[in-house]
Amino acid sequence: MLENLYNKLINWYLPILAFIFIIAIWQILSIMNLFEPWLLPSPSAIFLEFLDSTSFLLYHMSVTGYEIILGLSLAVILGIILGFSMTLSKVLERSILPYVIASQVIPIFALAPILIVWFGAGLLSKIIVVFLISFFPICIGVFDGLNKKNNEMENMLKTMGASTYQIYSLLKIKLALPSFFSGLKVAAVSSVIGAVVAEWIGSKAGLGWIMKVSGPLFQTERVFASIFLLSLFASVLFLSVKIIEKKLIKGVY
Amino acid sequence: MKKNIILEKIYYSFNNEAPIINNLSFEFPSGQTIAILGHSGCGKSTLLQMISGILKPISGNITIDNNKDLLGNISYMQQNDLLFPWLTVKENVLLPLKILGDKSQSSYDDVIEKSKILGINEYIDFYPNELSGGLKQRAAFLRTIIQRSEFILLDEPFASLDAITRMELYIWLEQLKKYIKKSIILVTHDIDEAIFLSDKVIIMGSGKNNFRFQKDISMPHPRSSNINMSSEFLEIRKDLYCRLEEVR
Repeated sequence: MLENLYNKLINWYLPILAFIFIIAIWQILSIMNLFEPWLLPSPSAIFLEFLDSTSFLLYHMSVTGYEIILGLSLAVILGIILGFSMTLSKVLERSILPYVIASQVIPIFALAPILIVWFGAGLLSKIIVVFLISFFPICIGVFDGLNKKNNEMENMLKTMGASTYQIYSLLKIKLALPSFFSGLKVAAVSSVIGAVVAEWIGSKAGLGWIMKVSGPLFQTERVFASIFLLSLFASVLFLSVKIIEKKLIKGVY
Repeated sequence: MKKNIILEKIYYSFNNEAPIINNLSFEFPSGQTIAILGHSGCGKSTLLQMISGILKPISGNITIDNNKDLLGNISYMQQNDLLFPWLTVKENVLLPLKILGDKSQSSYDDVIEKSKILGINEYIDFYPNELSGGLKQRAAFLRTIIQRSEFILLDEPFASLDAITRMELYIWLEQLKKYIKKSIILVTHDIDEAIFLSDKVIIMGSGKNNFRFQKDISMPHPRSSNINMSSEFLEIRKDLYCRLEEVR
């Protein structure tokens, strides 16, 4: 029971207490007028902005969220297919891997404007940017995970007469899951950055677009409200991946 | 029809170094338990891996009933239990049947019946990390014997267990032999284990003439724990010890 309470304290109460403490200090410093409100608005001003513009902010969050979910889903599908293909033969690995690495080396800030010129300022260019930023960790996670060897277990399945398909479905995929989920967690957080970068460079909606247009207008409360919503979205995405991971990899570690 | 395993002039070496198995020919008859006894590194496990089909001999043939396709036809239990930690004991044990696509109720009932004989029926829904070393080995053993092959290869399956648990498992195995009626090739470096469980002990050395000495063990089955105090047992042990010393 004590251990349970300790775990709850570490996992939930301490982060919440730390958050309340930082907000309280920030609010006190704001009341003391230690910095200009247009430079750093107080937490209460940001909260009021939430209340005043709830539907506006939620609409733009849904736009960004849609881009992230579509881009990330595409990255998961293609990441798994390419990661798996590279484990099938050395020829495929040598043909594909350099381009997978290259996709990560190009700075997304350099690539995003070209993609917007090619695919327009609509949804497609955002999905491609999110895909490019989140594809690499997933693909490498799948590739590394499937390359993990447990020769003894594999040999045991062979002596039972298991086919290559059965060796993958009964053993290799299970062993690859921790590596895949590590990549997916990194990708989930990076995908939010990708969507904001894409919206920043060329769009007419989304939280990235709000931040871009609100900054020069000194609507810093709105910028901070957008940042808070983005952080919240990234956290929910990360936690969702963790929950699925916990269910699927039971016993693998 | 009885199936024998036949080794014909098999040769194996690691990285083209001195051969560990050199021109070995032998016929393992069905219906018997044969123990291969030898020092560490003499090639016992390599030989079992070749008989199981995991390793291919550099030259020579291994056949079972004139069939060179060994994978899937011979059961092989390695030193570690190799239970999948994400599956329950029941799911682990049923793995060979799942691979064969056998979902019949009769096969499932047979597994449950054998799990009772091995004393693990109460733990069938547990995960491996919830079991002791002895229970894990029993589960791994059950998984090995439910395979349809006539031959079972055991590679030092009890080496990691304490003396009491090991003796318990010897007795379980002796009881179980009546039901499973399978041929066993047991690799071990424990003289007592070899005598207790087998009908014949082979002393193995590396290099030329791998099977240096063979001795039939005629004590009746099922053997009990006090047999290793008998004069016959002690006499065989002394003889095998001297033979092992010569092979070193």
